[in-house]
Amino acid sequence: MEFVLRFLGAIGRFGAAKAEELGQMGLLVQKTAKSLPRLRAEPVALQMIRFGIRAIPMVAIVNLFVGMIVAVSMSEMLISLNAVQRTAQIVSVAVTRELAPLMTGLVMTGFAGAAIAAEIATMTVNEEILALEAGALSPIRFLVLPRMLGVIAVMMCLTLIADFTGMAGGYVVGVHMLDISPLNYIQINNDSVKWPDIPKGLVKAATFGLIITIVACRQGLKANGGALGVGIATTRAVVLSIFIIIFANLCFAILFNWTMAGP
Amino acid sequence: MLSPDPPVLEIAGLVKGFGGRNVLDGVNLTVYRGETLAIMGESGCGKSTLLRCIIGALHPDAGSIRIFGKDLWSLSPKELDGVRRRFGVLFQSGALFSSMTVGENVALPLKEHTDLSPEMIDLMIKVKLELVGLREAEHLLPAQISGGMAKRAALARAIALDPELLFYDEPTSGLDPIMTGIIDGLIMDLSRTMNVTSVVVTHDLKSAFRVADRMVVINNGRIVTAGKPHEIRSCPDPFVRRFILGPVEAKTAVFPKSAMEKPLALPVEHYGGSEDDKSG
Repeated sequence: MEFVLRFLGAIGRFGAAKAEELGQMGLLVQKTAKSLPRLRAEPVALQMIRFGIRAIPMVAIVNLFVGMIVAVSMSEMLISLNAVQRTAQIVSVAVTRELAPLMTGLVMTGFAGAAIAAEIATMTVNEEILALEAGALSPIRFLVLPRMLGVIAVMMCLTLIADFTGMAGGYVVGVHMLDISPLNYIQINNDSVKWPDIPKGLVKAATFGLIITIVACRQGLKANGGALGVGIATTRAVVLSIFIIIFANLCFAILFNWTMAGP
Repeated sequence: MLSPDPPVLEIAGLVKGFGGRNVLDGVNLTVYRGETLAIMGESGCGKSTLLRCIIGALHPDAGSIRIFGKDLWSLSPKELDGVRRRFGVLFQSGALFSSMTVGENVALPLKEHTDLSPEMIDLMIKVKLELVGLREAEHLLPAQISGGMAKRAALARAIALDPELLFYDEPTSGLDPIMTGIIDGLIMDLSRTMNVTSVVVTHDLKSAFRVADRMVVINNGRIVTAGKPHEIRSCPDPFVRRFILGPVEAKTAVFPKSAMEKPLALPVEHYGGSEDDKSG
């Protein structure tokens, strides 16, 4: 009985700690939003260059492979159903609605999330954050806001690139492995991408960008314990971001499909 | 050096604890305009916690802190920023922003808190770096300069807005004797030329006796004594005597009792010379 009580207590404490952490991240979003009126464009642009340019090849290649994987995975079933022409439709819908924003978010968790968490955690343990506060410089306006806006903007741009390369991956498999005619593939691909799909993907991308930066900044700002603390903050930022992104993707899937299908 | 003006800093009944233990346990302190006050104590006595409470980085559990006559913790964030612009802090590690050059570090408070033109800011950077003898390091990154240069660069940043009050957190820690002397000299020069009130948190006795007009000694979260340097040197409190004469008995090491009773070889006069001599 005592073991059960202690176990329940441990679960309760764990839940309370996670709830507090979520609340703190919510507060960080609120404080960052309040800093928007004092936004300067140059720091945001620097963050976009820092995280955007270097991530293009990785995002493009990952999503190219993802498009190819979807096409190859579905090919056997489509051939058995004599519906191989639908490869383009399946790949384009899967990529634009789900896979491009999700895979881009996961890549950027490593690219941007880890880098931001490590950078801010190092600043925290080196007292640079304290120096900012003591100098009446808000770490949120100075560090969090440009990174948040930069990564959100970059996520949306990279998701568009991911959409294109994902569909290109499907094209490569469809035309060169499944003998679909190129014009036919492109025609079906273009007809399958409906107007709401790409904007919905961009909304997801922006949300994932927000998640990545807020989680990374929060973990960085609460780091302590020198180099070990920096490592812990970085690891936590990546793991937590991945978890929250996938959960958010589930919420979006339910929301978008519910609004499409009706109650 | 003491001024008839209202105190610059007043601390009353300050209490701050971590993990059920009070690191600060009822600290009362007053700092007057124009003076250099040294806050001394052994490692872990609460000096840095006290400094962090004063600059608004830690919220005390009890007590009050008034800077320039304003209760720190009743201020709005905007008012608190206004107070923070009137003081500067030199952190123990320097805390230079590692992604910026030395010049950019010094420029940051000027860019954020003033309407000076870029040309004027450029001139101010050179003036501040010249004051600390680092004119040549303007375009270097913190990773490219030595520890002593980083401390001086951080000091240049701390004085960028011509503050009325300067806090120094262990300014000479990790520095060689020559660089320690240079930092001490800078502290005294800034106090004299800019009429800055200085609060120096340190356990470097030689440095403290060199720069301070007044000193306080902290033990177990409380101030055990306060006074001018010569008064501290002749204070009869056992802890203060042990702290001044050193070495302090190690709390965790196991030594034979006879070894701990062995008197220190250095005479009291080693730390600072006469009561009015702060030339080091």
